[in-house]
Amino acid sequence: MDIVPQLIVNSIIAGAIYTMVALGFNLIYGTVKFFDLGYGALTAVGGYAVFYFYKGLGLNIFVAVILGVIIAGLIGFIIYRFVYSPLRERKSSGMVLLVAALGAFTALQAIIAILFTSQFQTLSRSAGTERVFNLLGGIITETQLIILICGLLIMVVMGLVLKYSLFGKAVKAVGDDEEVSKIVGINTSKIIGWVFFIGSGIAGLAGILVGFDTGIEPTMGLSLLLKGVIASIIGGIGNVYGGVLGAFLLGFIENFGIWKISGEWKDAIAFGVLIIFLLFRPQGILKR
Amino acid sequence: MKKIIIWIVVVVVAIWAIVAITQNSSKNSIVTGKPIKIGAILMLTGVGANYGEHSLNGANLAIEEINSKGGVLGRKIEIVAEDNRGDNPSTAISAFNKLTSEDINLMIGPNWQPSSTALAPLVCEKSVIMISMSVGGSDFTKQCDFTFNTYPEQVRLSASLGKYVVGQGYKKIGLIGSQQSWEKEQFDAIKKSIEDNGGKIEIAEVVSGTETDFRTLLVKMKKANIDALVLTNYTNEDITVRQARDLGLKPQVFSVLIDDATIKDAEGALEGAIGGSYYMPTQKFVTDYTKRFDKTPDVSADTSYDAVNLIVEAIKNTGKTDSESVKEYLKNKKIFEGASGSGTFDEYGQVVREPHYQKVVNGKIEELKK
Repeated sequence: MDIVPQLIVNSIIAGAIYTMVALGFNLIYGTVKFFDLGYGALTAVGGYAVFYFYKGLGLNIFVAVILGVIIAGLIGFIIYRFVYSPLRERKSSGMVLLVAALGAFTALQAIIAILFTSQFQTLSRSAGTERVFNLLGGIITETQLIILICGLLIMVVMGLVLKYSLFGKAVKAVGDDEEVSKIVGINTSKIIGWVFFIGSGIAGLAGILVGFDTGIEPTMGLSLLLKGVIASIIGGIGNVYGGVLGAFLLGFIENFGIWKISGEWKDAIAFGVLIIFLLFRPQGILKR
Repeated sequence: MKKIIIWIVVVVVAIWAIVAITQNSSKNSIVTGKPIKIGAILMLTGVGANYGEHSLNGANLAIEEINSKGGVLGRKIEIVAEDNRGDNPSTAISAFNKLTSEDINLMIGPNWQPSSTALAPLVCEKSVIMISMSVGGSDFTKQCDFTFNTYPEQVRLSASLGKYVVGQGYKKIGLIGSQQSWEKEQFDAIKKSIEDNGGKIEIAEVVSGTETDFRTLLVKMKKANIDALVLTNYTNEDITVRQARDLGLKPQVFSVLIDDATIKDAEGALEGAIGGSYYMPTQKFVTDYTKRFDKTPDVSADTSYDAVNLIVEAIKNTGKTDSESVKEYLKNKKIFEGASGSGTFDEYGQVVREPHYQKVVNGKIEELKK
C-alpha cells in the first residue's frame, strides 16, 4: 500500500464531508449573517429520518434519502419561520439569534434522543459488502465516493444558481443588503425562507451520507458543524467556493498533521489553523 | 374582610397540620409487613440504555424469586428504579436525593463510572449501601465502606488481555485508545501490560472520545505492518474495525470489550476478533432470564441479580434492614458465589474474578478454551 496516495484519499474523504456541511452553512450565513448553530442538529435530523424510513419502515433507499432531505429542509425552514424570523423582525442582536440557535440545536438534539434513544445506529445494510474503489492509488468506499460527488455537484449547482438565476441574484442581494433588497421589491422573507430550506436540506444530506459512512447519533451535529464552520472561515465565509476550498484544505492539514504526530492532536490542529486564519487572514482565502 | 382572610389562613394552616400529623403517624406505624425498598439508579434511557434495561431485569428477576419464597424477614422486597438518563451524573444525584428522601438506604447501581464518581461522596456521607453491577473502575469501592461492586475491576481484565496478546506470539502490536476516561484507563493498563510482558507496541494512538475517522491512524498501522490490533476505544470500535476492513488491514483484532451490539454495528468487521470478558453467567440464570423476559441476558443482568441477592442475604443473616448492619455483613464476606460466577471480594468490596477470552465466530460470541 502506497502511503501518500492513501493519505491524499483520506484527506479528500474528510474534505468532502466538511464540504457538505460548509456549503449549507455558508449559504445561510452569507444570507442572514448570523451563526445558525441549529444547522448542526439538522444533520442528525436527516440521518434519523432516513434511519426511520429506510431501516424502520423498509422504504426504498432513494425515497428515504429524499424524504430525509425534505424533512431536514422543512424543519430548518420551520425554525427560521417561528424562531429566527420574529427575532430578526424585532431587530434582535446577533447574540440573541446565536442563543436562540443554540436553543434550537439543543432542543432538536434532545427530541431526537427521546424519539430514537442516544444509542449509536448504523444506516447501511451492506454488512461488509460495500464496494471499494481505487482513487489516485488509494482506497475509497462507494459511500465516500458518493459523498465526494455530492459535495462537488452541490458546489457546482449552487455556484451556477447563485450566479445566473434570478433566485440566486436575489439571495446575493439579500446577503449584501437586506433593506435595499426590500426597497427594490425583493420578497426577502420568502428568499430567506428558501435559503433556510435549501441550506438545511444540504445539512440533512450531509448527515445522511455521514450516517451511511460511519453511523448516526443525536450528538453527531456538533463536531460536524464545528468542522464545517472552520472550513467556512478558512475558505472565506459566505463564499461557496471558499467553503469548499477551506474544507479540503482542513481535510489535508488534519490528515497530514496526524500522520506525523499523534492522532489526539487532530482537533488541536484544526482549531489551531482556525486561530491562525482569524488572526492573520480573517476574511479567509477567498473573499465573499 | 380582614377577619375573613384571618379565618382562611387559620383553616388552611389547620388542614395542613392535620394532614402532616396523619402522614407522620402513618409513617411511624410502618415497620413490619411493609415491603423493604431497594433503590436502583440505572441508565434506563439514552446512551447505554441496554445496560440499564438488563440491570433492571436482573434485579426484578431476583426480587420475583425472593418474593415467591415469602420475601425476607416476612416482608416483600420492592425495587424503586430511577433513570440517570445516559449516565448523566447530575441526574444520578437527583435520583439519589429522591430515593433518600423516601428513606431508602439500600441501593443498587449506577451502571457507568461518571455517575459512580458523582454519587460516591453522597453515598458515603449519607451512609447508604450502594452496590454497582457494571462500573469498571476500582475507585468507586475505595471511597468508603458503603460502596460495593459485583462487577470486577476492568483494568485487571485489560492487563490480563495484554499478557494474553503477547502470549499468543504477536510481535508487532498496534494499539488504539481514546481520551474518554474509562477507555483511557484501559489503554494505559493494556499498554503497560504488553510492555511489561515483553511485547512490542509498534504504534499506540489515542484519539478524542468522539472521533469517528480512524483512516489515517489505520494507514500508519498498515505501514508498520502490525500483526495485532488492540482496541480499547469501545465506543467507536465498530467504526474502527469497519474502516480497517475498508483499507484492507487484516491483523488479529483484540478488544477489551466486545458485546452483541458492537458486533452488530461492526457489520461483520469484528469477525474473528478476540475479547476479554468477565461475563459468564450460570446456565440456570440464562435459562430463567430468557424464560422470564423472552430475551437472552447481557452484561450487567447477572451482576445486578447478584447485587440484589447480596443485599437480601445481608438482611436475612443480620435480621436488620439498616445500612450499617448490611455494610458490616458485606464487609466481612470474602467468598462470592452468584449468577455471574464465583470469585472473592477484595478488601474494598469489589468482586475479583479471573477473566476469560471470547472470539467472534459467525457473528456470535464463543468462549475460547484456555
